[in-house]
Amino acid sequence: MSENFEKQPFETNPDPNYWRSFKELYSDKETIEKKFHEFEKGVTDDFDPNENLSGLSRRKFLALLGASAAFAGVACSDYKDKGEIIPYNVKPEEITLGKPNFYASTCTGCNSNCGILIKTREGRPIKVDGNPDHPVNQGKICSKGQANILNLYDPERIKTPLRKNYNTFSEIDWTKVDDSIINILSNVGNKEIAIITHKINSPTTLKLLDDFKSAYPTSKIYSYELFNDSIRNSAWQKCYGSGNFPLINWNDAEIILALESDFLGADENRIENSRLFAQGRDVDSKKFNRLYVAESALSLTGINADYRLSIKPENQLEFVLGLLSELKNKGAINTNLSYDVNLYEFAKRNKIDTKKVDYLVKDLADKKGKSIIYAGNSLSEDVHIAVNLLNELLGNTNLYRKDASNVDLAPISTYKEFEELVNKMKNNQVAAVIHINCNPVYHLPSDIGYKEALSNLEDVFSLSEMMNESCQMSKYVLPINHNFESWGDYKTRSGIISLSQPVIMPLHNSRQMEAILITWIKKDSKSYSDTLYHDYLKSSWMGNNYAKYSQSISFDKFWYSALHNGFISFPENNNFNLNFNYSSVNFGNIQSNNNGFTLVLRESYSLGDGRFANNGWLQELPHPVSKITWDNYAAISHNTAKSLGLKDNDLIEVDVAGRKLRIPVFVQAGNADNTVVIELGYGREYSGIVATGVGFNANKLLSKNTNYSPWIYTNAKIDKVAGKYILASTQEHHSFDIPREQDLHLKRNIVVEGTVAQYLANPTFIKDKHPIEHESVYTPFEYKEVKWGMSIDLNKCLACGDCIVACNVENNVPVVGKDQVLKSREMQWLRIDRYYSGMPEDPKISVQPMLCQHCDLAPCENVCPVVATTHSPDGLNQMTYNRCVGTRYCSNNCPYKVRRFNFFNYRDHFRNGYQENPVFALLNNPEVTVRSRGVMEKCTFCVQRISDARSEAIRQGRKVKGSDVKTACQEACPTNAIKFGDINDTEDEFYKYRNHELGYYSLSELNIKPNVTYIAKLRNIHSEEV
Amino acid sequence: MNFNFEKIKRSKFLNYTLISGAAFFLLKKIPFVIANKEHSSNSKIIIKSNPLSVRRENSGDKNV
Repeated sequence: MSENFEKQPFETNPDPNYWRSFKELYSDKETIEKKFHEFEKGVTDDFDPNENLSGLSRRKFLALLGASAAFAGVACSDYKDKGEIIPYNVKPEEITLGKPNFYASTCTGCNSNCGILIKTREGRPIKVDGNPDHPVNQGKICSKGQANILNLYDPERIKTPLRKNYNTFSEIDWTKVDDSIINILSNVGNKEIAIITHKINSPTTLKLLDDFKSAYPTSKIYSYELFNDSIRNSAWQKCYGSGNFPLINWNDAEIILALESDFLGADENRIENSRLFAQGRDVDSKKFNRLYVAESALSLTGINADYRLSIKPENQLEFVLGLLSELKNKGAINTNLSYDVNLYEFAKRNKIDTKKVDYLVKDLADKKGKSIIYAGNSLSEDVHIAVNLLNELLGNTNLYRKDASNVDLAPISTYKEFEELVNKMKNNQVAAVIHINCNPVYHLPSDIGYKEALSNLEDVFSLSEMMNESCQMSKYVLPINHNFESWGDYKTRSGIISLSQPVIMPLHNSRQMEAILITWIKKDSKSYSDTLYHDYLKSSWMGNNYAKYSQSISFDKFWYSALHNGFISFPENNNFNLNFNYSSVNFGNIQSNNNGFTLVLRESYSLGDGRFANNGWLQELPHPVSKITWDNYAAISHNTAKSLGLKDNDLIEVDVAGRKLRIPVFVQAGNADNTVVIELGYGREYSGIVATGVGFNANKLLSKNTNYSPWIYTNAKIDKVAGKYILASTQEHHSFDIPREQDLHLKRNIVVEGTVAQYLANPTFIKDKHPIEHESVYTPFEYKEVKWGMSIDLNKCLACGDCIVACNVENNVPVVGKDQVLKSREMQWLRIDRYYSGMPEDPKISVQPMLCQHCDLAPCENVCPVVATTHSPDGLNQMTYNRCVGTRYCSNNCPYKVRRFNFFNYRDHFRNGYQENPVFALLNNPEVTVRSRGVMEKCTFCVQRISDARSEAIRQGRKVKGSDVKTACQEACPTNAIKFGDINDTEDEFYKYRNHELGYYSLSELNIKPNVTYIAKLRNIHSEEV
Repeated sequence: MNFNFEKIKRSKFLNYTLISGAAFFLLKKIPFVIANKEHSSNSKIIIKSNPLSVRRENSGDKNV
């Protein structure tokens, strides 16, 4: 880093320009220098032709050239022969070659169990999207759900049952392993059979486990989730007597205060939350909510806040009670309760802008009954009780949904119960442990002692898709079917039961998890059949759901329609009780006595609790806030870094009551001082080659004992240690801005935004300042038929990244690996640029999804020497891969830096050809070319979907319409921020977005006429600040 | 025009032809062998849909 870093304090140069990293903010020479170069240093490494050639005469060279050409000509005849293509002798009835089939199913990536539609081609699934009919997620799923298709085709799935011999695993027959396990389970005597699972959301699986307990009476179920809402629900039950915390009508909330809650990012059902939140932020209806976020570290919800307050989690109780006191003083609420907390004194002590506090108090007072205060799952029970109390006093219970609620079929086990299990294991009271699709060795806090107790037990059986830390300690490892190969039913919401159905027969010698248990219940290894669980599920539905909800039609019709739709819905009483129990309000210490750092452990946006760690697409998805890929890190604030003398990539040791972890640092703008935030789900020791050794296992810092919550620890220590660890961040890649220019006319208006007050006062204020149409020397081309265009509403874009993963899946975008990401060679066609403005301690964040703009006067088209990039008559900037010779001139000329060059055949290059594996290759979408080394690629506006729609329109004898096509990113966006359609069709819904009064083009002054319109972001701040 | 032709012995010429011919023959065989190997591992993966599953006509197919 250059000497200039840190020598130009921001305070002396308060030009509110946008910056993407601290190096940019402090005008680090190296970083500024990089912006003037098309490619990073070292990007053409390994391309030195002179390196390995010894002296060669001209004659010899020509002779070799001639011989090589001859041999290549001979070899070429068979280079395409990758195998035989055999046409169907008897075509399966459901398959029409070239036409996809869709199956409704349910995602099991997390506990939301969203309804999905799986697109299959020639019998194999290639794409997953949300089920548009499902009432909860309504056609959208998250990035984990999108990328789950890669888990199906993961070459490192366990393919056959394994038996452990000393430290190695050998294959074993299903019959032998079933016989052995049945024998063991039948002879346990009085000893316990412990069954460990994740939270059970399936009514039929729950019934099956009851049957298992009947067959083996000493069985006991222990279920867990690394991240759960048990504290929130426990607080709710104390306040209201029964039930779970209700769902919120986010779309009706005018003021939202989120306390350490990432309800748009990682908490609970973020797809539903995002959709409802975005409905409350609509430029068409001019309906804008106002989001306040009080958190310790910048989260996805935080970057979408109108006002953000940095508050450490252990101070949240004092903050909430301070709010209560202030609202009481203002007469906004009526209560006898009083607390010795002064909100403004709290704000000054914690360096919070008192103006923001003023606005918050005013808004909560003015919008009583139309606001919601929402505490995150990781906060303590006291904070949740205080929040419930404040919502009750403000009348915000209006926003609780009365018609539906979350459902817990079975409670999860507490750490205390796991401790009791461990004690039983140590005392030889447990005969066998069965892990059902879970990884407690990795997930449970180490001080419970589960791993040590397990190591002394011989009969440990793991049912799993992939090898993991718990499987490593098992006597038998049994492969189970992936979600897309499985039957199942799920109930996580009242009034809805979702179904999952297999869309492909098991790829390997695996079995449905429930069918394995049925075989053991029957105590006969020969009783297994492929339809065993299907029959059980169907019979369970006949006895329960059909009998209860739908006897007016035949069962077969009921069953097939349920499978077709993916779910059934029925009226269900929620027993909603809103009588607040004031005796629950009894707080201990209000002020925190933390003398050290606060450690906050969060769920990974892309890996969840670690179950997606072997998924390359998710590992390479840039973190929505830090833009880091492939690793986790310890995020600390700018001031904390300064005081400890830390910079990005420095190693630190985090010590929490003797539990230690070495991890690299990332300086994150907007974090609270003296707070360390680390995401879990990384640092896997036993997984596939993608996951193993990536990141740092922060689960080591978890403890069964906590004075606050299982994910927040006070009095932590941080010490700088020797060494560095380079983190691969994409935040400075593909920059097309020039930071911190003093001359305003040189500033490039890439991000254009305003405030709601400005918009309401003058709806055309954006177009007045940034006119779209400019004079041109070119004669414009007349697009007489369809002209494709896109609009992205930056008011709705949350920067979640679901669109990026959907694009990767749809367009066969390869994973390149951390080493290539460090050289800016990530291949994602769509990226989300994140800009900061303002002070590092309190930045405002602006996001902008950036993809090929399909410019009418595209600068890339003019410079290609071989005409590999052209413009279609319907407005697409096209790429002809087999013409491209790789000059990269087009990428050089692209002002948006959206073109991606295949420096390697990444399928070969990444992890020694992992992506070339025949099983992995099944993942590829047959409608999209798989690009090879040396060609340029970029967003095509999903031209394969456009072609498909055009064929269908021709078949129907009509012209193709804009609404016929949905791009992959548009389909995935949970807030419907992306619209796609025909620019020329005035009746298309898209037309109004293309011509919106808030619409602008990025870099419009270049006059290259991009076909992507951005709807300017409006911040809903108090009008005094305009 | 001035071409430099090197005189080559007849025996050397015949040797080169023999080697080239052998290489031609081998290279014709090797890609086939490699392709066969890939094919044999491909043939272990059987792609078959489940006959008990119920499909939709298209993604926009409404509830029945």
